[in-house]
Amino acid sequence: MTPLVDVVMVILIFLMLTGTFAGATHYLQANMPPVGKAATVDPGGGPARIEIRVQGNSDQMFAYVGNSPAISDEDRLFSTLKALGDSLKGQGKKPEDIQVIIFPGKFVKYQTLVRVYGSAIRAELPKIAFGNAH
Amino acid sequence: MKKHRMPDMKEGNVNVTPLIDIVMCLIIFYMLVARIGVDMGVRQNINLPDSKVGKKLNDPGNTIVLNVERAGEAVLVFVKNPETSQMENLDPTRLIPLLRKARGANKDFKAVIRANLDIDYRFIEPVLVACSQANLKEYQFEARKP
Repeated sequence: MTPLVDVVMVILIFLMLTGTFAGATHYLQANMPPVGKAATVDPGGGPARIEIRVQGNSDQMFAYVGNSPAISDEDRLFSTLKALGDSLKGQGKKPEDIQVIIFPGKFVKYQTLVRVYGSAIRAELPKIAFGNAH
Repeated sequence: MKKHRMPDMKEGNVNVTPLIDIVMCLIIFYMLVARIGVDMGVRQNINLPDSKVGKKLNDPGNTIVLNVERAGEAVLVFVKNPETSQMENLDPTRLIPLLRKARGANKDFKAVIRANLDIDYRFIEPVLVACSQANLKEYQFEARKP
């Protein structure tokens, strides 16, 4: 019995030391933006498009949804996007027909972009792409 | 007053059955849950941004990890070359042929982008452009759960 316990203990310690667990991170999916379209929101039967321009630094975020005034709060951005998304869905658009495009400023921090991205996901707008920096 | 004495020690085997049961359960747990020897080319020095939302990576076999790091005013992408399994640091223009080769005819091939939370978008954009020019349909940003 003793050799069995020894071997089993060695295997257990090996697994405990070498194993890494999934779950500390997760992933934000983005698609390539469609090219050659400039309209902010297409009121016709085609896919709708919501543009978000983002400015800011590591401390502050300024997001502009279409022609809206600057939004610096993540929850307000979420509610604005949710309202816009619901209005488009009310016009018969499916969530996958609504393309959100984020246009960040050159000096916008990655963390800020992830916050904007997260607001769009929370607003149930899953199709998100990144546009050119401005 | 009557003195209580400790019972005499008896020679005998310790019952190890419960110990083995528990250890076996732990081994099975680790074998099922832990990922051993899976090297996707992740650089651990990158401080990922936090995100409340995100999805699990479903298809790691169809994925290439791009570690984006700032080098002064330039950007370097640390990537594990799928052919040689060696880590390489490339500028985004040299990344395009590697991505094209890695993608091949696989339409579901995607890139995972890892970057420091305080890096500017101007350093990430060339990597996104490289992904676009390599005809990748999608990419994913890795973020930390808060």
